[in-house]
Order: sequence, then structure tokens, then C-alpha cells
Amino acid sequence: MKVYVKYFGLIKDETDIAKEYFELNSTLSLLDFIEQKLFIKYPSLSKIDFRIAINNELCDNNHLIADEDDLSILPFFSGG
Amino acid sequence: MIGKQKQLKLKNSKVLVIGAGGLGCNVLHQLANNGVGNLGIMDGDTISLSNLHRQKNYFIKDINAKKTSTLIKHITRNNPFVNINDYPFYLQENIEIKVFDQYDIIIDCTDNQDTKFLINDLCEYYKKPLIFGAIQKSEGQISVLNFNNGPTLRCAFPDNKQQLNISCEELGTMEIITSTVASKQVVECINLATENKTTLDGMLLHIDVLDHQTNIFKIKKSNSINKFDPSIISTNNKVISVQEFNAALKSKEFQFIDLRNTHEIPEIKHINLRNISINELKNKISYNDISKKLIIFCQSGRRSSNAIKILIELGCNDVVHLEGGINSLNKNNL
Repeated sequence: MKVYVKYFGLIKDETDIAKEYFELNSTLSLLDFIEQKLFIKYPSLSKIDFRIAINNELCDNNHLIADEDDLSILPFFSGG
Repeated sequence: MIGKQKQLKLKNSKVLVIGAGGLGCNVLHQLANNGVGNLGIMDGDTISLSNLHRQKNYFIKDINAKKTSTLIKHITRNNPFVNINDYPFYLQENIEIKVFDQYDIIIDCTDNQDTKFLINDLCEYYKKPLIFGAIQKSEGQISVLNFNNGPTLRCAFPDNKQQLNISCEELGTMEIITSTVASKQVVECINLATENKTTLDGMLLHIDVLDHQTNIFKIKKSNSINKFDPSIISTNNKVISVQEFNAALKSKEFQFIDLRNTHEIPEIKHINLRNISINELKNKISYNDISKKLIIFCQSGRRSSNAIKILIELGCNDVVHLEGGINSLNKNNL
């Protein structure tokens, strides 16, 4: 299955790309996706705290990802 | 434009703006121009040269003046009928005062993570709606939180882990995103004050002004969130002034830790000084270090205020940090 991923803020600086898609061979929880896909491709992201929204709703790490889901990786912004 | 009745509601509303930087300048100006009758502005900072490009109420002649009083002077020149209370200090320094209770709406225009969470916790404690705003480079986030017991900032970011606590000055921020986010915050403030409703209740609006992308994310209400505890959050007895810092530099009694990177200037030299970045603190601090009287500092005081908490967790009892960081040395020409 395929999931679409968008990066925001400092995360986008680390990935150097605004959006891409990942092919998943099996159903993964958000935490599995983070550890087995995201951090493998972008190890530096493990240093940044972020939340992930699936289809525009912030989700817990045990949420299961479905085919064609849109994932948004959002860091905390603190500038003012 | 919004009708006499709503304009009267705006006139009678009481809005507290925390942070008189890029967002705060824009927000306060627009609130006064739109006819909000009672305002409060809180910030302990003074004006620096690096503020001027995005904090449009400050000019060269204002450098070293208090931000809040300077801002009030500019705003009352435009609208002399607005009541503005001046709180020329940082929230952490006066956490015990009940300022929040005197206002209907709180607007967060601050520039660091700890204060943003502290404001959130105080809003929850005093049951006040919070209009959150934050910027970074060309991107910004806006949300209305804690409205009618709705989601809070901790529902959106529950971990509140140690972030890369980088200020606008260090990271760079476009003036355009500052005014865009501030305008959205003001719109939500007007909606709340006149109709007691908002389209961003529990929603996180994300804007990028470079590619015009806008996204709205729903925040789920979570019940397992931290409750406000001023005794844990307050670190106001852990700071030293520029004068105390300089006096300490002449003594051999203290161990200094410079949290800055090597490119940050001016370099501070002292026989008892170590350079350790905040990310390396846990690994590089030894038992020998934490048994000493520690003085830590960084460029602006932000990293050092976070480092204090890490050092206390590591068992360090005698640690203080330089308020305002090395920037405050420069401001005081010391």
C-alpha cells in the first residue's frame, strides 16, 4: 500500500523535500512507521519532537495507517 | 463594518497579549485599531537592533528601551482612548500574580516553548480561551485552545520534550509570516469577543507564505494531560543578573558552563569554564561538576533556562543561569 507524507517546518529542512510517498508492505501503526520507515530514511528526525496528523487529524502513535492515507509531520513551532 | 453592537462588545472586551516581539507588535496594534477597549501587554525584554526588521513599532532610537512601554506609546498615539496595562516583566518572573483573571481572552505572542506551555497551563487553570500563534522562517501556526474546555496545547503536543529551542533571531523569520499569523490571531480574537465563537476551536491552522499552502489539523481532546503546578514550573529563583555574573567571573568559586556553539560571540574566557552544548549536557556533566556551584549561560537565556531543568533532574542543587544570556552583557555594555 501507498501513503503520502508531507513535511513541515524544521522537519522539511531535514528531509530537504516537502512531500513524498512511501510504499508499505503491511499495515503499520504510526509508531512502526516512524521507527521502521521514517527514522531509517531520515535518522536526524529522531532528534526532533513532532506530531503526525493522518488525513488532517493529529493521531496517537498506536493509530493504524491505511492505504492512501495522507500523513503530515508537524514539529512544534515556538517563534514569535 | 461589524455593526454597532459588536463594536461595543469589542470596546468592553479585555485582552491580554503576552510577548511584545514580532507577533505582539502586530497583534496589539491591530486590536487597538479595531476598537478593543482594554488591553494588557506583558514582556520583560528591551529592544535590540536585530528586532527592528520585523517588530515594526520599534526604531533605532528605541534600542535598549523597554518593549512594552515603547509599544504602548506608539499605540496610544494612534488610539488615545484604549486602556492599556503595562506588565514590563516575563511571565516566569511573576507567575504568582493573577493577571490572567482580569482578562477575557489571552493571546500568546511569545517566542519560546516553555513560556508557550506555561501560558497554556495558566489559561487552563484560569479557564480562559487562548489564541496560540507561532512562527518559523516562512511558516506559522495558529490555534484557539482551551475554549469551552476544548483541547489545549498539551493535547496537540503532549510530550513537551526538549525541543531545539531556537529563537527567531537564530533561525530567521520572514516579516510576512509574522504579520499574517498576527492578523489571523486578531480575527479569532474579534470572533471570540463579539460572537463567542471561533472557527479554529481545537484546530491547528498551518500556513506557509512562500508557497501559499494552508492546512488545518484537528486536535483531539486528551484527558491524560499535565495539570498546572507553579512549584514545578517556576525557575525564577535560578537566575543571576549581568552584574552578579560579572562579579562571579572575577571569583574562582564557580564553575561556568557555556552552552553556546563555537561560532557564537563574544567568546567568554575563564579558568573554570567548560563549553557543553545543551544536547551534550546529560553525557558530559560529571558528578564532580554537579557538586560545584554552577553558573550556566547561552546567547539569549533560552537554552540556559531549559538546561537548568536538565541539571536539576541530574541532581544539581546549586545552579543559576544568566538572565538574558550574553546578549544582556552587550546591552549593558559590560
